[in-house]
Amino acid sequence: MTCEEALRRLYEVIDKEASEIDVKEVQEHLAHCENCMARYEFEAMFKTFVCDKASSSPKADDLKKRILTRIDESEDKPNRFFNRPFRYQAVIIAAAAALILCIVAAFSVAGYYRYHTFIEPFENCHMAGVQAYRTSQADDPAIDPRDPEVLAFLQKSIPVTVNDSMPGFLMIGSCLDNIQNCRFAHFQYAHDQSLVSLFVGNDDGINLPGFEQVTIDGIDFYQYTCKSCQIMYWKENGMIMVAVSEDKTLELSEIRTVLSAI
Amino acid sequence: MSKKETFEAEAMIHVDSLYRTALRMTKNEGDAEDLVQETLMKAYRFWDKFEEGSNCRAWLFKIMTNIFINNYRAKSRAPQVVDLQDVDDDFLFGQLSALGPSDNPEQHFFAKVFDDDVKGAIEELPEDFRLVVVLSFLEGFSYQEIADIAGLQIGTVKSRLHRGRKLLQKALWDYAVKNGFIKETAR
Repeated sequence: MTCEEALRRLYEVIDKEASEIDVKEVQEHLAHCENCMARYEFEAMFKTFVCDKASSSPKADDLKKRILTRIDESEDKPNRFFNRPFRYQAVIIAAAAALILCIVAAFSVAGYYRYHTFIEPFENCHMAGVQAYRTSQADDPAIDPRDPEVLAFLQKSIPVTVNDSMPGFLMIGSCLDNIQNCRFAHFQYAHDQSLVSLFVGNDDGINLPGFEQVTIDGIDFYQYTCKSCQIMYWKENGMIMVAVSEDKTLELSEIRTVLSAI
Repeated sequence: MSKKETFEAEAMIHVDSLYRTALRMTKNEGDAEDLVQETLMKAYRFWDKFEEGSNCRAWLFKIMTNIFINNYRAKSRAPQVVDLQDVDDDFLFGQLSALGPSDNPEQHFFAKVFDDDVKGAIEELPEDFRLVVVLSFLEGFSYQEIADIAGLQIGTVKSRLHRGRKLLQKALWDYAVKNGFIKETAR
């Protein structure tokens, strides 16, 4: 073996990666080649030197403790969810999606039910005169209920006039309406440019979900704001009063004062 | 034995050695601890995938190397250009031999250089070379194991180790000269 061949195997021999035959041949060469021997000894020493100097590192006992704690935590916590085969996750996700869908559906059905059984009938009664007036006109005018022509028209659909006036509220008229099989006395007023209706009926234990409750002067008011108006109701002396107002800023107490004047 | 017990007995015993390599690769304790923690958490999650009786230590180092390459390696990944043109294979040996045979310059050199200096010189190596040098010199993995851990051809492992040795020897020589341990002689 030449020096060149011996040095080509240098690192493989030192790293103990050379075949037995190679090692044997190299050893034979080194036995009678001082230069190569010196180089081999140096490289072996260098490796040991680096290993000795750089192997020491701080003990990682704290780190081990922290890892074991994290493993314990991961055992009890929902991380396990992600370790499961995909089909488990798919089933759980599908079930969750179905549940959410059901809840959303239940709410929309409840909202739909409330709107069509309670709000819409009042709204329709409240707007009946105005709708009729609109239909009678060729164009779609902005309606001011204080306009004598409009007022005359509305009074035809709400025929009974109650002799009453409150500052700011112009009585248009009153009638009896049948809403959801309950009879209501319906009073309609013009308030600025908007219409306000008051319905008074017997309290048959009606209670509606989804209304916001406000207590004023010891009376519970229930309030609900929909697209075109706000609806409020409250109970007094065995009666249920329902107020429907286009003006959403109208105060409850104001409406109640109007009603107590009747 | 429960899953956790076998994991403690077979995997947790390698934390010290993983931490040593993590320190050299990330160059700081905080990152090294995070890297080792992530490695063992991942290993624990995939513990049922580990084939019993196979090399657990190499498996853990493979996981750690992958996490390191994906999350920790230097942000800019410009190709690592290393100029070794003027460095001979026997650079350090030649330099030390040239100092004269009488006063045993190798012993003198090895005695003068501190632990932290060697660690620092390893950390100065470009990542690709550093990884194979650490796995081979400090952790004692075979060429084949290093190839598996780092996802390299065995020939690439050999050449990186060869060049890594040269770079390390050059760096330590420059360091010794700079600190006056050794007077440089024209060679």
